Amino acid sequence: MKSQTSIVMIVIVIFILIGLGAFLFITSLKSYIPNEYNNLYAHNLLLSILRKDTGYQAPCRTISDLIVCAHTTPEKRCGGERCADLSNQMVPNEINKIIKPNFDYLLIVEPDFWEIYGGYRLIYGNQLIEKSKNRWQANEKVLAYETNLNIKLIIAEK
Amino acid sequence: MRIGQAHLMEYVLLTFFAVLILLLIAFFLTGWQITGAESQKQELVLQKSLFVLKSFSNSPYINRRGFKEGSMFEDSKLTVLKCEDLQNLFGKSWWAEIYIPGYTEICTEENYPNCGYWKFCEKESESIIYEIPVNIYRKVSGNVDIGILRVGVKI
Repeated sequence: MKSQTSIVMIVIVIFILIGLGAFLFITSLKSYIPNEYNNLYAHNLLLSILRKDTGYQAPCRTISDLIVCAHTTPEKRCGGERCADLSNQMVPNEINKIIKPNFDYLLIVEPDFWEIYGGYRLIYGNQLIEKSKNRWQANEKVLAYETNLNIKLIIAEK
Repeated sequence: MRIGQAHLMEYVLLTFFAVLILLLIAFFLTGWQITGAESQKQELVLQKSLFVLKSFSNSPYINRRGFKEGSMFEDSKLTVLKCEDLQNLFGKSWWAEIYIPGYTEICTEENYPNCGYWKFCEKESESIIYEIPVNIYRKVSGNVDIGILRVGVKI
């Protein structure tokens, strides 16, 4: 009887050990999300897009200029097209050309202190990712006449 | 006699279970060590990849003058640089390629500036690869394009 109790105890200990081992093994297999890399990727993506030449002259020489023009003076024309139309066509096109296929994006252009004063916002991309759990964000500030613009790029895995 | 045999069996079983526990612990610890070493290795390779990516992005040897934020590579500088020059700066066991989407011809002094693909060091088949978007400044036309910097670090 005494030995039987010992055997039962040993079996229980084995089960506990197996459970503990499985738990530790599973926790060691946690997915390694390289946050630093994704932040770097988001930052470089935004910076590269903003600096790219559009092929048009002032006030739309770079994508950054085009965004400012589309936000502040949307009716102005670059190469015969309205800034707003050109921006709507060119910005998503340039981002889609370069972004990794497993990422989705959201680009928001808003005036400084938008949360307090509100104002007009330009939004490109998938708005659903704004609340996504695994997302990375890059910010740039562009100096524009009368107001500064904040440009936010959010990327998230599809 | 039978009682003696039963006792003996109990001891044999006890010993068997005790050995089993010891073996399990040994296996578990070995597995734990291997997993730990693997994740450490992965992290080191990732750190090295990020180091090379950042070094490229900020290197004055590649970037256009005046861009403190980096990632504005000058095509003429990329064309004349060799793998050895960059290995002296960033260390060894990595390779890199920079390209403007749509270009496949590798840039040499003969076909410059009608090219948009630069390769540094021999590509390793077993490597961890990371890429980031960068700008390429076309010195002849004065235009700024978007390119991809891809860095691989040998596993």
